[in-house]
Amino acid sequence: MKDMFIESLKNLFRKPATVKYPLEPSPTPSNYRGLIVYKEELCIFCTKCEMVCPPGAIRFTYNEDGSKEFHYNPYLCIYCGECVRACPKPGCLIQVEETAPSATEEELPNWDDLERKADESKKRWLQARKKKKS
Amino acid sequence: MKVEEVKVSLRDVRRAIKDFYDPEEWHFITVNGTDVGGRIELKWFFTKYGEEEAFKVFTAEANYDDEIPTLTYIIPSAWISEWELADLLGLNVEGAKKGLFLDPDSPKAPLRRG
Amino acid sequence: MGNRITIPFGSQHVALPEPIRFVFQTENEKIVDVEVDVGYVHRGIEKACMTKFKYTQVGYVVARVCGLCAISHTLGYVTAVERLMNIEVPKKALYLRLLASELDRVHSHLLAMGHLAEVAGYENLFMHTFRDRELVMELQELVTGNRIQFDYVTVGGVNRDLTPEVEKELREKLKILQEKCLWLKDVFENDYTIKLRWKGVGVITPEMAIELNVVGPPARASELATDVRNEFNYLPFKEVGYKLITMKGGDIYARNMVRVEETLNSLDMLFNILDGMPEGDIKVPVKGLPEGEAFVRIEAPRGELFYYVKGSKKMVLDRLRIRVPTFANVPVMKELFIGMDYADVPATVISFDPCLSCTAR
Repeated sequence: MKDMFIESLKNLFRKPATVKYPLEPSPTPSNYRGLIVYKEELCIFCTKCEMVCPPGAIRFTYNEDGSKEFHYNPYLCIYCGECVRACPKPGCLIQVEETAPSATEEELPNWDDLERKADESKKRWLQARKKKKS
Repeated sequence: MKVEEVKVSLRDVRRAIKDFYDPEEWHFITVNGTDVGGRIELKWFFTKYGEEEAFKVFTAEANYDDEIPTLTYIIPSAWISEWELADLLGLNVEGAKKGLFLDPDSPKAPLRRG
Repeated sequence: MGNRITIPFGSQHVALPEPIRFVFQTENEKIVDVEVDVGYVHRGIEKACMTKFKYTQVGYVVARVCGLCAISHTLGYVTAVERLMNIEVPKKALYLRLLASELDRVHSHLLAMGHLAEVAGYENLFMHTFRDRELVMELQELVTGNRIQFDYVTVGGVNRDLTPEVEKELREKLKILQEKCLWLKDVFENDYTIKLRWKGVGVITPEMAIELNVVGPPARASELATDVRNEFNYLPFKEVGYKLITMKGGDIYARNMVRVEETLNSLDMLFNILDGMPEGDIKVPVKGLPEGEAFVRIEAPRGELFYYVKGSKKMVLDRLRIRVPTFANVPVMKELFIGMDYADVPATVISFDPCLSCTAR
């Protein structure tokens, strides 16, 4: 008990253990698992990242002409990095040490709509491919 | 891994476990139910204290509406696993109350197939 | 004796940020009957793992069962799947898993100790414990990239390697942490307030522990020598100086002291892991699909964690069953309360370090 008392008195004169966040910056530490960054010019559109993503934060929509479009939802992402490891093209998907922008800063993507669109366009695309084959 | 698996009929489960179970030697882990399509496969898991990877498993099959005998006379702590069985697989376990996990308005027997 | 009074305890607590509810029937101060409700946060994770997710993704899903023992859940699942598919994991990956798992144990035990100090009314010690816990959290962030949801272990190995800089920082910070933990041990062991509050309260006798199949630190505090690290060979614990710790007494004080001793043992093990880190790959490629059934036991910080996995050559598993340590300790909690003073209930509940998001899944 005496130890604790002395320690407590000492604590009165120590620096605070917490970071005074809004006044001081609180940078993300090194090795942090952060956002996924996508480079379209390197992508070969194999959709492997879409298949491995556990929460479904990466979706591809299929355009009429057969090209695909990459969509990423940083608020659904769990930052596990499965997509980066699954990507056959090095440098196309990378994980940076940055957090997602706070959700109030910009408008949130309407992800439900996008998921629906991705499902429908994929169905259409598959049907078109089937027709072409037969 | 040393696993001793004993197949028993549902009626004999309690007797078989009573004959074998020595609380000082065996640790009761849990009872698990798996839906195998129309029937439920029940497994009672035991492990030996102080020994590496020694298991004993009792297996029985039950229909959806069979009454599952309770083990709480032999293993007093078994009630909670049995209540879970009654809740999540919708089985009729002797003496089990429903509602350990589920609310009255949640789906019934979520772990069943189909 | 007075009339019976019904006192609901929970689902919101002073110290514990998790929903468990007890309804006590008391006669004056003595508890005569108790009902328990653990299902507030049932999320149907087992069902989701059996319908929605592929077996390679399930590891990330079960990690979200609980934030505190995230590594244990993934470890349990991954070990089960590896046994099903006969995957030989490289030695280095095993050591890295061991590192993450022991860091996790240290942080979880420090959390439990802090909470216990808080329910004893000892806010000062609570703050001290949590300040020191921050060090472990930083180390976890350094090794795995996140403070609690590690996503470190995967089928076939681990996701990240340990760089030399990280190793150096680990060693430095672990040394500081060890000193702080030794100081904390001294306080927890000898403080007059704590002894007065915890000794002889909520006693689990050895007979009771055996009869009710208690697991984890509460069991070891009642002289029941059961530790899965000793009984199940999932990681090379014996190579890095693991000790089985048991205590006499079975009261809250003994349960806390088991945690304190285990924290120190884990820290020793962490140094040994860093010293004996083998060379080699951290991951092997995974081919094939799980078939058959496997069950594993893992020592999570709170006790024995049991995983049952059944697959039939499909991407989606047939059955995944999680039996968590708190789930196994609820019967003994219930038994313990009968005949106890109501004032001792909060400390007794926290002394089990209950994790309700694990229990309800």
